[in-house]
Amino acid sequence: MKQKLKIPLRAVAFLAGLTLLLLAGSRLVVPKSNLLGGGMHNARASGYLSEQEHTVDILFLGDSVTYSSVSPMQLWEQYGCTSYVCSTPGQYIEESYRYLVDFCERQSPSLVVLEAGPLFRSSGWYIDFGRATYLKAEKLFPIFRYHNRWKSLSLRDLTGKISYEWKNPLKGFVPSYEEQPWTGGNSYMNPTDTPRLVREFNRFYFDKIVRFCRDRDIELQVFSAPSPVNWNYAKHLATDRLTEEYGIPYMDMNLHLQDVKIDWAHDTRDSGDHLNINGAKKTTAYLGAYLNGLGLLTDRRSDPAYANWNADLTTYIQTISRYGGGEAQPSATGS
Amino acid sequence: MEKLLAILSEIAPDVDAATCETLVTDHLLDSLAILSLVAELEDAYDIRIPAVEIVPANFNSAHAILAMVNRLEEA
Amino acid sequence: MRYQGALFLLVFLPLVLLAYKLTPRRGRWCVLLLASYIFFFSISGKLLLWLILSTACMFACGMWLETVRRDGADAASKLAGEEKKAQKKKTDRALRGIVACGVILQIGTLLCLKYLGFFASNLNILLGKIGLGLQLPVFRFLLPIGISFYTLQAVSYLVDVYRGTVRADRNPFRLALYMSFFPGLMEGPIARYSDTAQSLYDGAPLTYRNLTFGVQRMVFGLFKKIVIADRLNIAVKEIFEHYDTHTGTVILLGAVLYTCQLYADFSGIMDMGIGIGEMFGVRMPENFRRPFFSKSISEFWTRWHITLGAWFRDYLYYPLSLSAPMKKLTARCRRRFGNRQAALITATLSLFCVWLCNGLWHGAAWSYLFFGMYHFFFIALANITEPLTGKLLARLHIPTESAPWRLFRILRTCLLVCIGELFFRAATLTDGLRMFGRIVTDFRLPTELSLGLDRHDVVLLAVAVLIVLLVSILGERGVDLRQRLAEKPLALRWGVYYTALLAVIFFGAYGTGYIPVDPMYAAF
Repeated sequence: MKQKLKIPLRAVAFLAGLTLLLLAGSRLVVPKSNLLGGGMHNARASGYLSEQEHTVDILFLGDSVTYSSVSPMQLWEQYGCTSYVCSTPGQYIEESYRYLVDFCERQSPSLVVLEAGPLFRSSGWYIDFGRATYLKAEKLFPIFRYHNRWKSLSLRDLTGKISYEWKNPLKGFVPSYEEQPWTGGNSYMNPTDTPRLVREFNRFYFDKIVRFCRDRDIELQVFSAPSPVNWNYAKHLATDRLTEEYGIPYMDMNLHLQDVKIDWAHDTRDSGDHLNINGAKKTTAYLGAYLNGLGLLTDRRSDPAYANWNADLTTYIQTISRYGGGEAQPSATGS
Repeated sequence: MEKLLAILSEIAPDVDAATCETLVTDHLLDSLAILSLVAELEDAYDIRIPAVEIVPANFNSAHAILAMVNRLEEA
Repeated sequence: MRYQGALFLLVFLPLVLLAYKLTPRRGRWCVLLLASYIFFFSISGKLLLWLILSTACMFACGMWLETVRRDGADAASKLAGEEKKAQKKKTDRALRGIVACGVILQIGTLLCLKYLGFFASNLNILLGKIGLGLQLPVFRFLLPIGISFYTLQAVSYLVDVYRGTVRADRNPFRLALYMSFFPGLMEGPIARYSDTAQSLYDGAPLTYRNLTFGVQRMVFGLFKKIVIADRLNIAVKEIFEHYDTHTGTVILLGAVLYTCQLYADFSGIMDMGIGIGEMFGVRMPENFRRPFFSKSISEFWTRWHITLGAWFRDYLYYPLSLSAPMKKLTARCRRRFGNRQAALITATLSLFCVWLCNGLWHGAAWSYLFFGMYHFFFIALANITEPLTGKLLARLHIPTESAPWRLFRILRTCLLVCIGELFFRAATLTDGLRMFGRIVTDFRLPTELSLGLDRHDVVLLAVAVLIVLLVSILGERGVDLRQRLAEKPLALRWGVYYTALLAVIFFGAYGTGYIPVDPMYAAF
């Protein structure tokens, strides 16, 4: 019996040792600040780490379409609600879910707004599955994500103090001042009968997002920001059916372009792919009014605990007025 | 055996063919040498050596080669 | 799934091991077959049908050969004398017909899927030149993964059954496993039925030794693949894609780096595959034997992609050299030029065919064809000049067994190989020739060099390559490192394993900021 147990025990001991080493390694390479220069990936979206705990009420999730269209500081200015955009380029739905879970470790949002883009992003079933596995491994052992920091390890990484001091005054929003017109008009929203396929994999993670929100009494909203390149009626139809199935409210701005007052000649930075600052102002205003109409926005402006948001607003206004052209890069790279 | 050793010494003069047991595995006979050898053997013993016989086991030593030749002579 | 991916290493492989362990011994090969088909399907989807078709055809031909042979023997045993001989001849003819059918079907499928586009488009260019207004439609098929490898396995099985060196398998599903075993599915090694089939069906229990040795080998392969090859890829890509901005010396460096990358990539994936096979108690053939210690090009090919070279040797080179027309030619030449010259002539002719096929096997492109001819040229040259160089060396009193002379030959072979790989990697043959032209005309050193690698990368690569070199030198000296390690005390062993694992995880060129590189030979 003893002989029989020896090898399994040894295997368990070996794996336990490996786990400890991986955790130690992770501790070593995990960025000690949330600056891009500190090695943080997607620093702009990770700026929420330095927000005071349990102060951000709204979380926006999605891909580049989202961070080009939604400006939290404008919402603060108009409605006094606190929000953050955790959207990253080409975000996959499992990443949206990851951001949601991570965000809720520090914040307790009352509303999560998901842009529908990630519902349709897929690279085939086994690549999707592999990516999700990898994401899971990264969560357990951040060494898998930040291993490349071996190149820039310093003494601070050894002593291991983590402090997220960089605050993003744009709260995840990425303004652009480029102008390249979209000339295709609104025909991309011509109705069809066949919805786009939402793959089983994406549906699975959407389901996880829904359940996560329900468990925590978080309101979930799905919306689509104007983007002729990324959006069409087939996707609208699919999203509409999916959200209806779950009883989740869904609002597609692509069907209300007149009301949003989108001007395709001036409001897009790259011919209909992403909106620029003009377009973003209009979509944020429309989205704010819509959410406010549903009574989902809480005004914090008179609460002294949120005074720093007013300070951020000043910086924000300065930042977006400082740039005359090009994409404004909030100094995630600097000090 | 003498006949075979004479043939071998002509094809691979530097090798002690009588005792070596790894003619092929140690690359002492390369593919070119094997082709010459096959041609010589076919001539000398009046046999036909098909491609299936060209395996290291048949060419690794003088004994193996002789055994193969004898087998083919009988067939 | 990729062998070096998280899904394969963290989910698929552990699950297969678990399922294998839980299944009773007799059913274990079914677990392997199922896993292999899932693996195949994950990459090639519905193209799995091609593999099934190939397997079915191979099974049917094998059974047919067996039946005809048995019936022929039965009939012959009842006869005597001339009649018996006639019966035997009849059987032989039938067998030859069947095996030819089978081989043509297998190779034909490969030709159609892989080469039709190449031939049609080149034919169109030709037709256009002649001025006929005729254009052929150019079909381009999606290739099922590993088709170039499993087709060769199928052919070797059929020929072996025909030759009578293996018995036809009566179970089509077991043949399916031989064709698709997942560790070797993507890029070989090209296994022989007589070597691996039995161990595949055996369902050997998972043992401590097999598992640890398998994991060891896998981690070393992973190290070569993601620490060395994938990091080198950055610089290689830069040089080959923008060669017109680099000097000749840098392009030569690019050829050397690419050769290193290809070796680390291909042999790394082989180590992983063979290691995984080892875990299941399956011995797969070795595909590399420290090729950069070769003293000649022909020796190089007995140490690099060994199973491909061996396949061509056993199923093309010897059969061709010993075929009736070739033998007639040899006999005629013997009378005129003597034995050595006669053998040389047939050997060179067969070599030409082998290298033509070898080049084409890698892919339907002129650069691969050139690659084949390049190696043919140097091997044939060495064969032809061998007596001459021998005399010359003796005349010059160069000791052929001395270390400097051996080193010279090794370096010379490496250089030739690197130049060959330059043509292999170049986008087109024209690009390859232009790059080569630069190497031999432009000797300027670059004033500043940025290949996308920083100081850290360079140091890391140097250390990693040194480690592989060290392991190779020890291997060359006949040191069995793995056995030596297994005899060391537990603490030391674990220390080595942990270091190796962490090195791969820390220093691998994977994740954010790196483009994943698919195993390079999987494309062939």
